[in-house]
Amino acid sequence: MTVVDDRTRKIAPPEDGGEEGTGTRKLAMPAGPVTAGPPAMPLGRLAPGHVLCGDCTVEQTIRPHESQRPGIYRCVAPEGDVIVKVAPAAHPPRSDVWEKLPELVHPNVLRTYRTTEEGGFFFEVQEYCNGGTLADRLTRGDKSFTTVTADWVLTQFVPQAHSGLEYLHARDIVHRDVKPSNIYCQRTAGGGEILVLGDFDISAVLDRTHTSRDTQRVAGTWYYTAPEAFPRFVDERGATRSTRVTRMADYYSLGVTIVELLQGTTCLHMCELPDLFDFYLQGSVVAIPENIPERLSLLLRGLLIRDRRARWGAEEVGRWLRGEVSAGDRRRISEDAAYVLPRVSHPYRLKEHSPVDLPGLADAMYREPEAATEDLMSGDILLSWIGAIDANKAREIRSVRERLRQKPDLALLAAIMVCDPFRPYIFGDGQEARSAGEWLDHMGLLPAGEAASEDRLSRLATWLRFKWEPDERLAEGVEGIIASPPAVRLEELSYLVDPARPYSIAPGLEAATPEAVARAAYGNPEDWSRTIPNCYNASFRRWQEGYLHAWMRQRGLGSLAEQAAEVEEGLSEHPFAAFEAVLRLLCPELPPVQVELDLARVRGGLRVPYGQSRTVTLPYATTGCGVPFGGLEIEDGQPGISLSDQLIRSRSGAARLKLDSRGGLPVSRSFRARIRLTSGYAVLAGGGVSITYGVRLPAALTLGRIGLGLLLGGIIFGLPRWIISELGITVAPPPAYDAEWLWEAIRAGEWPYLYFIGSAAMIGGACYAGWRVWLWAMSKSES
Amino acid sequence: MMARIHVAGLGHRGTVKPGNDDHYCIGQWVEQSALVAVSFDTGAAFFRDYGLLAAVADGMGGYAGGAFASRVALEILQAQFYAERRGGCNREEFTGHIRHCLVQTQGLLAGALRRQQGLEDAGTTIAGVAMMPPDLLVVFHAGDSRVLLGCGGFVRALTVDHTPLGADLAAGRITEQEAAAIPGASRLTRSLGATVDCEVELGSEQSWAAGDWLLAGTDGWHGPGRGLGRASIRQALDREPEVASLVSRLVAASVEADGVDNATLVAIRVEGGGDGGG
Repeated sequence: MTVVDDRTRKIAPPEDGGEEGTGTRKLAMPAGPVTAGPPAMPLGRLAPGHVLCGDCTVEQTIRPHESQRPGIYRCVAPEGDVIVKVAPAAHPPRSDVWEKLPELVHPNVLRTYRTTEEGGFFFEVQEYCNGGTLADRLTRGDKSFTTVTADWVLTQFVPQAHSGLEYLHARDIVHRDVKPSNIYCQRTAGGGEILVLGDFDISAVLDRTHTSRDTQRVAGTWYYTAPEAFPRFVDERGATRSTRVTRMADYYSLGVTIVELLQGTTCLHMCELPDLFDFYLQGSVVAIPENIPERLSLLLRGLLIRDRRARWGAEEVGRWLRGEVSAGDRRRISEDAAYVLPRVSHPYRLKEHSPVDLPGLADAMYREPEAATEDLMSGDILLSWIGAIDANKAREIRSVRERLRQKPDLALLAAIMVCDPFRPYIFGDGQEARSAGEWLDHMGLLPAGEAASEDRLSRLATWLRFKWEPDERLAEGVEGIIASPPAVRLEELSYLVDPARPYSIAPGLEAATPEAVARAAYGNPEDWSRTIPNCYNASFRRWQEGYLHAWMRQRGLGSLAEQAAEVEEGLSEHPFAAFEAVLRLLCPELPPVQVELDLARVRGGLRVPYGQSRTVTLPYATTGCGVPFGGLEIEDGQPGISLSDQLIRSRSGAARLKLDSRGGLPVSRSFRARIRLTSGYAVLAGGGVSITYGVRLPAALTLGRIGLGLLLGGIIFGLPRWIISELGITVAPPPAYDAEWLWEAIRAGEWPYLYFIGSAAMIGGACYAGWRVWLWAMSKSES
Repeated sequence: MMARIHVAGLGHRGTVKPGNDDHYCIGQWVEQSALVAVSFDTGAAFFRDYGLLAAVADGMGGYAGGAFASRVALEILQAQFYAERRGGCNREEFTGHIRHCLVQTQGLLAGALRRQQGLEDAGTTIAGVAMMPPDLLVVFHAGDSRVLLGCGGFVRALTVDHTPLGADLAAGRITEQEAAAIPGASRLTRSLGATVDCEVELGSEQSWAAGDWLLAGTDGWHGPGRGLGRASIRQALDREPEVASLVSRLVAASVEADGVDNATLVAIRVEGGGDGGG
């Protein structure tokens, strides 16, 4: 299982036990000497006038250089009065710290002007402090101590020491040996004094590629050492393991230093090293002096919190200095005071580890994940052991195991966190995260898909759920993100962690509100004059990849995201249309996309000869921002005219208008058709366009039709007369076919009247029949 | 999404004993040596209305008495279990139903044994599970027959043997090999039939879910120093997805590895679904 990859190095027990009590601790050399070569002979005591480092003339040997102790010489150099410190021959300095020393420039940090290496010796040319150290002020008499006042600690010591530590920690340097004898006083010309943190012999650099666990403590003044530096469990060989030393260790040491400054000693100063182990393994607390201001007492209780993860650090002390101590800061103190170290009579055996308490068990489970998972998932032995210490935690782990039984690695992580809720999230490379934000910072270094794998997110959610001050909302959010596309998850997580984070529309372009996102995606209207601008394309791509949805979900726009998803589903084949619709969900006030039809080819009306069809191309183009989507259609279903390719889905294109006179389109009439655009967000310029059209009859055919009709009529007109004459019916022949005669005949009801009516009817009938026959013939010829 | 449940059971007399005094039941089938395999969707009407009962019983008191006791115990239990519909019941009601069934079984079995000449000392262990939608699972047992849960690549016991060293075994204070070497360690502190006031232990905190394997077996199949070890069971679960094949393989392997005692196993596999319930 890979809950948290363990690359923690096993730390060997300190071999140089004889360093205790020497006052100044020597350097551990995990990385080997700075340079190779035979060790040089110690410099010993140097006579005044001896020159070191080329230009430092010795005035006084403060401490002679020996193979096991650094030499300290007061010299005169171009920088003024300086201290030249020569590393002990057997313990050259750590290269990481040594190289950084000249870079440290801060009023409360001892200035190292330069570091040089000559003849196998390592020299540090340092600022000379003329006020001695704070230890000089704590003279121990037979029955009493000389101490400093609480007021001085409040107003002088804490602000300056905090400032110096903050500076060092910002540069990833843990001092690891904060104590009165390492705090120097520099008197100023105005009669004031500046406190200066010095002596970086055992400091450690917390570089980004190594965990703080690499900085094992094998040296230092144990009285001031933080509890976490004392082993919490012992393996079967009896070898001790060091736990993590972090920036918090310096603040614990600062607390012990303040106690010592106030009362001249501490309860720890009466202990031998084994007693110190017992002191901390039994969960004892350093006694805080009585009769000191409550404010100072509060600070000490915060600095001396036993659990480094709850201890006050730079932020908390900063708040304390500003008088802004939070409820959370106070709660940590009260929780630490209430914490009683639970222990069982026998250690739990997990491979080579034998933890005796729950944090120790958590650490062992972290180091031996496979064995721990086996123990957790395959039986109740582990739970029985935990239950002997804390039945509630055993019950919680049992419940978690049941819930996560298909995911043993998560069950193990949950169990680890239940045992030790203060554990940070530990990455495979050993780095740690104490919040989802820090997790993101680390994951940002990896490719998005890899960083936010389902496995990693599940672990993060589990960690968030079981850590100290669990965050169920965030954990659920992280689990929800697993459903998102892998490439999007990391960014979505960043929106979840920081809901106020603006949406990244395109590289270098962000917007914080839905309206702003939509408008920013459009960019400037001028940019649309030639082609689709980059911001729109980038925004479109990110929307397609799911980033916009991720932002909406985590921005609290869940219903909007659901609506957008519905729109996208409906327009899945038209991504630009879907995108435009989504933009309008974000910003309903976004102007419609304007489409303009080019009517040049139908201007003046569209005519087609009877019996034929004609197709005309109608180009269109978009003016302004956006990509249109919609269908052109002819209102009211006008006869004979139709549109094809009428779906508009790009900024420019052409529709086809077809006029077809076949199928009974009335001739000799002019029609008017109105074309409109049906769309959710696009409109035709002017609201629509109208065109006139009609059918043009061919002249010869028309004349032929008339002639045929007349011929038929003539035939029919003459037919009655022939019939009458054949039948021998005698009628008075009309004198003349003039209007007067006809009128008179009608009035008189004479035969010619009926004759005329009958003739006219026959002529009409003949014309109509001729017309129908002609149409029939025409339709036959077309088909 | 609907889950599917596969159940199979098989018994074997072993290589030493002249007969088999184990029985097992799957639903309303009570069998001894035959292989029974059943598969159904969790939406099936009978499962929705009645649930599923699967159990093993290891008889004692001589071959005749043991086989009689184990068979009768399971027959009474299944008859009680399937006597009325329980569909839609909650966890508490379902557990109460199982408890009632087991109490009835205990009483009726004791009566049946009393009525049989020479079977006064007979009795049986029992271990099994009762399942009901959506995810209710009640584990019951008396004696040293066990119910195991396999999930996520691990196998653990859901029951603690009712033997003098059962609790020590479960707490890791003693290993199975050490327990097997202690005289009297395999004596039963609970069983059905032998005493009327014996209480069958119920565990109702569990739920069944897709991906789970539930294995109920007698001590001849998996017990302190007997049958198959936990590691072998785990390996078999990893390699054999088909429940009937798994049962055949595990029973055969236990007989091959030990064979001194009868070996009986019922295995349940919950497949697919994802949300467990039907």
